[in-house]
Amino acid sequence: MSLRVEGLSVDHGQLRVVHEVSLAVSPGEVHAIIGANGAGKSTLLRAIAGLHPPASGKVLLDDVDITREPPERRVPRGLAMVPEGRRLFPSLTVRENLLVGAHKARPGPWTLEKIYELFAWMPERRDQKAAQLSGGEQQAVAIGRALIANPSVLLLDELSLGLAPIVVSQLYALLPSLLRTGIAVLLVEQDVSQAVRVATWVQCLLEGRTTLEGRPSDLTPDQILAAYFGLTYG
Amino acid sequence: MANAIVQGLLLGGLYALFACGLSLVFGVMRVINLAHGDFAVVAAYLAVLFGGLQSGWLVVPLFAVAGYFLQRTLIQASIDRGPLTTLLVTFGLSVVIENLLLQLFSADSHSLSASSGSIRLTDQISVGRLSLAIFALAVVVLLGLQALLSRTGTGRLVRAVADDPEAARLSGVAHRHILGLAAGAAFATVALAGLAFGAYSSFAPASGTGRLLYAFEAVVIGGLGSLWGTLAGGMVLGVAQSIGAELNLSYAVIAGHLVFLAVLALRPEGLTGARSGAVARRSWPSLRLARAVRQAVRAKARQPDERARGRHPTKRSWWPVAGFVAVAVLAYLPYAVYSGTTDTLVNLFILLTLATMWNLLAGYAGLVSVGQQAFVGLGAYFTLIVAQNGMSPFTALPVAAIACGVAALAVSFLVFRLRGGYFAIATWVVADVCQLAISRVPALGGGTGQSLPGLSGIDPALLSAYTYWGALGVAALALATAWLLLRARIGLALRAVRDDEIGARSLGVRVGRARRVVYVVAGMGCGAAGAVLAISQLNVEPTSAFSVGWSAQMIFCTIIGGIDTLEGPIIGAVLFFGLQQALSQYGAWYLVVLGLIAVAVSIWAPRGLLKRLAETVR
Repeated sequence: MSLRVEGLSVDHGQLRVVHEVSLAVSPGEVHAIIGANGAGKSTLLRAIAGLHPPASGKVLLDDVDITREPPERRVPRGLAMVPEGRRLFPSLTVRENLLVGAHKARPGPWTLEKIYELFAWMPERRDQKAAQLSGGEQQAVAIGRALIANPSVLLLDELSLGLAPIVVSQLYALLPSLLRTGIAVLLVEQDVSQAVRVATWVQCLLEGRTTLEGRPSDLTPDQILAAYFGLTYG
Repeated sequence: MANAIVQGLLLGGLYALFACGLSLVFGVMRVINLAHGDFAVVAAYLAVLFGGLQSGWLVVPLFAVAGYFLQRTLIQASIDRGPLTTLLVTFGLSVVIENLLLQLFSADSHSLSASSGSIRLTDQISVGRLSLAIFALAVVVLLGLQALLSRTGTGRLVRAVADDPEAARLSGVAHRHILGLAAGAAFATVALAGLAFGAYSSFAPASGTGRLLYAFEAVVIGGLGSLWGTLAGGMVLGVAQSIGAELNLSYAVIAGHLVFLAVLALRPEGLTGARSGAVARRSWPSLRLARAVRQAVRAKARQPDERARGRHPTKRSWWPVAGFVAVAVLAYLPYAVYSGTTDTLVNLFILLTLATMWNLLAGYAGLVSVGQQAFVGLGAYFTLIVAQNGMSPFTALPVAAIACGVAALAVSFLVFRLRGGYFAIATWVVADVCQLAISRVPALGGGTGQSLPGLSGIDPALLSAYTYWGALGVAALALATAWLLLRARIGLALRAVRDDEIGARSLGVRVGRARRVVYVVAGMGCGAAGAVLAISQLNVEPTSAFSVGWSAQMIFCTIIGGIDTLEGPIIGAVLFFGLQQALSQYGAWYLVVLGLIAVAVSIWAPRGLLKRLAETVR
């Protein structure tokens, strides 16, 4: 068991955004969290990454309690995140962005060369400033920057945000090759069909609470719709 | 002249050395260190203490370590609380350092002896070995910084943290440690600059202000964010100063300031720089859209008439009543107490006026000015001019206020091109220019000042009462203006701008105009306070009228009382006044203590002392 979250509650000021959410992700699994805007998905992910201290609950990585650790100490433990909106270092080159990601890297399969192999366009543009890349290219660099730290758990926050559908499916097509290295993926996605397609487990949040979870094959579209919007069918 | 240019170019090396630390700290931490020059002066004094220039081997590493720890503690704490706090804290530090040095080393100037001698290039031009060495040092430091930032792994992490601290943390970067390292490097350059400065000329505890201003001018002239631009800027400034000195020794500094202001007016992006975020963009991309939205908003707002007035619903309405009662009681005082008491209260009213104006500026309009002493001084001098022309100094009160308002309007077109900390220092430069220019006018008493004519005929008791009523009137008017301004539509606009400038702009709030109105009002208020000051002191003297201490006091009062509340400056002025009375016998220590209190309050009680106490009690 790589990542385990137990009864995590997160507040924004006086407002509770995430209510006692629990989840577990094992190596080779893709755990997708879906939900409408404001359901608390990104906040949950930020709390797991350490950017947002939770009000209560626990975050365990390989059975070590990391709830109170700052994000920079979770990286060497094997937790890396691709933040919402990519958040590259705009004044750094592609290569420098990757090297920043690598500076606390654990030993593992991912190196600069492997990232360049994964994204074939990257080597020849490695000395370009990140700010000059297109959105999809930036997202690729952001993924590379997280992967190069050789995480055991990879958090992906809204990979599809602001990208063309074709780019999004190209990025998601990479997931199987990542999983083969024994990584666990926890992703947040607004695009439900995309999430259901790639996930091994789907968890739906509504107003900070889990309303539905299960294997994608066990869930019907109507169930998901109901859980997503909080509708009840008479 | 050729000699002056060569000397000026070399002097530019010294200024670039001063500037690179300022530039680095701003580029990485987004902090304008207003104590930058004072830290350099501390380095020079440490070298005096440790036995001369050769102790640089000790002082520079010491500064690097001190820079690291200062960043990890005080500066980081103020960064966490926002850009206003960083300005307040570094300004507080500047006051503390300057007065601490004054207390420890007296006001006498010191110098670090360095091997002199010069190299003759031609018959007219000879170059000092020291100037050459300093220039070489500056080039080496700039090259070194550039290599450190662009070629080393740590430099890469520094740039990453500067770009996006949160994303850097997600990549495992211990951002606070990295910022500490950057601050350490910056402080090492500050120490080098201080040592070079000490070797080049004599220095005194108050020298830091000048160094900060020159460093800042070099950065802006050269273009923000460019290390080599900084060297070019330093050289332009150096040439301007040495050509100015060629004409008349006392023109040196003012010539540099004028070149800086000219660059600001004509080419605000600097000589080398591209337009940068710190420079207010003149053509806001969505301006046209914003205008369209504004017109729509206006058309809508016109229909229900009450909404157009923009009343703020939560404002307490007991203010006018309380104000009238207080003014009536205070106005009666000259009949009831000795003139000693009312004379003391005059100082309180001046303070109250200044603090209220600064609160409008910084608390509501987000304009952190440390140059309001320009208007205090100008107000005092306008009073002198009026009195010299045979009119009563009391008639000068409105004249000084209006004249200062006009001056503020003119100045605003220059300084509004800069933002945040750069705006703060630009206002300081303007104040320095005013002081230097007025010190050159013999009719106004030159550098020594002049006593105010036209008051000797009045009975002392009556004069004291008149002065008191004048000061009370100015303070009451200042408060009333602030109250009315904040209740008016513009008050609403200011609050919107303070909370979210882009949001406010996109709804059609005319940010620039709202700020300009506040700046002009604050100029008028400070001018009137300056006029009261001139009348109560019975003379006008440039260094005290234009003292940066005025800004320090108004900032202090506002901060301890509670910024962006109307009552804050009143509470703050009263508290400050009490402290001043209690501590005044301790000389410069009192300013050290006040500075420390200001730093502590802006970090631990950013909403003011009373609010903090109330929270603790609750």
